[in-house]
Amino acid sequence: MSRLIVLVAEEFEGHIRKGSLQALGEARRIATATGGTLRVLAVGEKKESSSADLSANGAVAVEFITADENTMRNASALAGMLHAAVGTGDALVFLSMTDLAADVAPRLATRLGVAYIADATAVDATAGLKFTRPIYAGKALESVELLSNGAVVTLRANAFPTPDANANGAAQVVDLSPAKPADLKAIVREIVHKSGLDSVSLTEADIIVSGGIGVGGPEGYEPLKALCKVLGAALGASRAAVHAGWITPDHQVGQTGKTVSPNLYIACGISGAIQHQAGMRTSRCIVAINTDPNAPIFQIAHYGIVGDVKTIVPMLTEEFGRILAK
Amino acid sequence: MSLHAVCLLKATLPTEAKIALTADGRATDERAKPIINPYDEFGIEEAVQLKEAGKVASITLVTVGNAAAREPIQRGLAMGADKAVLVDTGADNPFELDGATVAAALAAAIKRAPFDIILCGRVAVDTGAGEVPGRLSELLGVPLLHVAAKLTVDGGKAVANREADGRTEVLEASLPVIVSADKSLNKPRYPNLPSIMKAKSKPFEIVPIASILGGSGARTRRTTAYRLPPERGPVRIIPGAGSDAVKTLVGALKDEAKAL
Repeated sequence: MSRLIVLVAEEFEGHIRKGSLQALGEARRIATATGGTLRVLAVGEKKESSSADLSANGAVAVEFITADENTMRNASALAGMLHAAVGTGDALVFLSMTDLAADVAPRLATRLGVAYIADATAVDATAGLKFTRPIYAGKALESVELLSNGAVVTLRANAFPTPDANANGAAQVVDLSPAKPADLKAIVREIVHKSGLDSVSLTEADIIVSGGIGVGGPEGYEPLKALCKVLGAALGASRAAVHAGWITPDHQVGQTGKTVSPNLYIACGISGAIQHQAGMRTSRCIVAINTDPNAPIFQIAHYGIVGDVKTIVPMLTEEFGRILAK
Repeated sequence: MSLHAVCLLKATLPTEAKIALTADGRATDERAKPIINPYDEFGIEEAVQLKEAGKVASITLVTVGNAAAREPIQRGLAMGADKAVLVDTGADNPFELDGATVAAALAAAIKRAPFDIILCGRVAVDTGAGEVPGRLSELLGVPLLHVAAKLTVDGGKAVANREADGRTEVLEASLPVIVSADKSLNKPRYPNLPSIMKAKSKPFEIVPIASILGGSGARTRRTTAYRLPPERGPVRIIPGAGSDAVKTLVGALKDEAKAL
């Protein structure tokens, strides 16, 4: 069966999101494996940098849906436009699992009359199609097959490799202008941009330095921020530290915070309660620094140092700085 | 205002459940007692607060589940809901139903009576799919304020704050509306003993899922297998806590784990 595979790339702050590029790589792999055809759609303000990102990551032809921020963040509007653009319920539509996709993907699946596979971490295209996705906050995995002809699938960020960039790629970008639905019942009244310390998205970060109660207080995050700077890392936090008011909730990693899967997760002064583990256990390499040798974090860490983060983190910053400068 | 509120309630395993594979290959914790999906609890609490503020006149709980949902539903009634409807899956495990079927069953059950506001959690902690609110919005043709961290209902309108991508989005819709709750929406109450006793005599209707679906809600996906994540080897504790230990660690991350 010749599959139509559609990849919907999401532009954010002038660039195509890393998760969308990973999804593009996976969509291309599946198209090749199933002998299917691939359509690449993109949504955003269509900045030059976004087209460049897609070109560099293997897109040959891109259909760009230009939408202002208030339209793009209106899930009903965007689902309607994507439905018009995709057209058929026989397609496999892939998106990166982002806040935006979490809203739009189930709607699109309903409009197309197909299955919605959320937060998939693997796709097996060898005999039919099987999707692996986490359940019970990652404590188990389920393997899912489709009963509908098509599906909308969101892929977890960092569960798939980021394609190597090819500076010589040149995608042909055309405008796609599906009609914006006229009867929108919900509107985005305003978007309040917060002056955050970092715009490195936790869910897409390659490296995360995360601090818990062991950092000692709000000022305890300063050494961690310095380490983040040297590593180009995002800053995470445990629920306990957020509840203590030491750091804002958007840094929280865990079952009720963000789920992350970076290449490297450095847990500083975090005990590693089950609900925190649920948010970071699939990180490729986990380092734990804690004064308590019995802290549960050491059960899932790959490397550990039993010691005080207040002395160890500055030493790490210095040593990483030295190694990376070479 | 005398709005009619519907609160969706899913019975899930508690988040501390120890998930293992049963003899027939299911992933579950057979000793854990089901609870109200914690995110749905925020929805119920919000409805009860709106009732206490005089804005909501009645709260109906709607659940797709089976006998295991009875205790969580009783707790929802004890929190302050007025009545409950259980769309009964009978012998079928509701965890294995796909979101399209669940949304269709909920839509059919909800449509039987007028409603102004539907409250639910943004995601169920067992499946982690977050699929039903969006599907329900499409099926009912009712706007959805998704992942609401803050909500105000006034003058026939609902306004919600949603945290996404490090920004706060302010969304607005006229009633009727669906609001899916994020964790910072409120602090759910612990029902006291009098409320728990009163809940036992509140109306509790049971409707078989096949009769409410009437042919709609066709399955779109099926789980073929469950497995546990791969076991990992023991941690390598670098001895010491001084500069030598740090140098060893960074060296291992660079050369052994290739994590840089």
